[in-house]
Amino acid sequence: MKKLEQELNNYYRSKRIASDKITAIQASVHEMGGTRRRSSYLIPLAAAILLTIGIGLWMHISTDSSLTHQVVTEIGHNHRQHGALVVKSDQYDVVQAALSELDFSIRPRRGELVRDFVLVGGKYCTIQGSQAAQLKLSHRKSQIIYTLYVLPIADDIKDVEPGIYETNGLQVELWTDQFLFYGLAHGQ
Amino acid sequence: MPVSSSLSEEELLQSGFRYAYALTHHHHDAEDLVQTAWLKLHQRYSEVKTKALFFTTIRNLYIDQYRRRKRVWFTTLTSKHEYLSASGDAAVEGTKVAIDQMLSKLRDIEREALFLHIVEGYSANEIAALTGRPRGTVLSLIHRSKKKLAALETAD
Repeated sequence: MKKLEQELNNYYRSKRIASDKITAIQASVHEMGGTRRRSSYLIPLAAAILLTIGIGLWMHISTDSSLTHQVVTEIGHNHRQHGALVVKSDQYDVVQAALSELDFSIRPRRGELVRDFVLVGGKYCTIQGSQAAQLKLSHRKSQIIYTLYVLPIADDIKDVEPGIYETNGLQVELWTDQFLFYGLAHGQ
Repeated sequence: MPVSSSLSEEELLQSGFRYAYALTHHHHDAEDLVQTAWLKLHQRYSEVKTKALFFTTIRNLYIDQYRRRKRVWFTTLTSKHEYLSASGDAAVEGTKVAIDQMLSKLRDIEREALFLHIVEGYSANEIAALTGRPRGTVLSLIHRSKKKLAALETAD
């Protein structure tokens, strides 16, 4: 039995992994180490970049939506005010002449606003600190009074998102046309 | 239990290879096992901490990858003749071939127990700890394996 054990010992001791295989294994370890070092450096960097982009995007969206919300609220608030008009007329030219401080055309470019509404009059107002025209329009069929705001697109409002919004029971539509910004509010 | 601290990287790899060979009884499979275990440990710990851990990793990989395959190996006569003629000492090589054939008739768990006990010098308790088998089972495996080999040797 001792002889058999000795033979087994010799047999297994003679089994050797080839030296080129050992070299290959050691090379794989070095390569893996390099990859790990690169990975350990890249992963936090990628995470930081993604986080920065995420925060920036969130701030951008947040700022934009916040500005739009402010404009909608301001237009809604102004619509509910029933201050005296500077001029009462159903003629845009007359109202334009009366609001002489304005250096832009108050006549809406949308055909339906001229076709379906009758101009009641207008006055000055401000939206986000910029001077604007506040025009009262009466719907020809329903006789409901709408308020139209017109002002040049300045830096203060250039990021406002066009669309139709609801605020405190009012509907406010925002849009732009060439260099002018429009807001139309109606409701009680 | 022997520790790896005194072993060089190459000695540790050779030792792991012999253990993998005892399990697989196939040169290339043993090489693959050793390489995979070595890389796995480096990936996890950046080093191979102990020989015991290296052996355990090899063993687990063997159970996962090789034993489940139930592979059948065909050894050609030609390769044996080439093996014999390539060596200057036909008697020694003849013994090796005989041992090889006898070991191929043992189960992997029997070869493993024999290898750890005879070649690595592990006690039954150490083998039990490494393989997760009861000490009594380990002793029984060693005893039966030796008996089988002796019977095969007599038959030849």
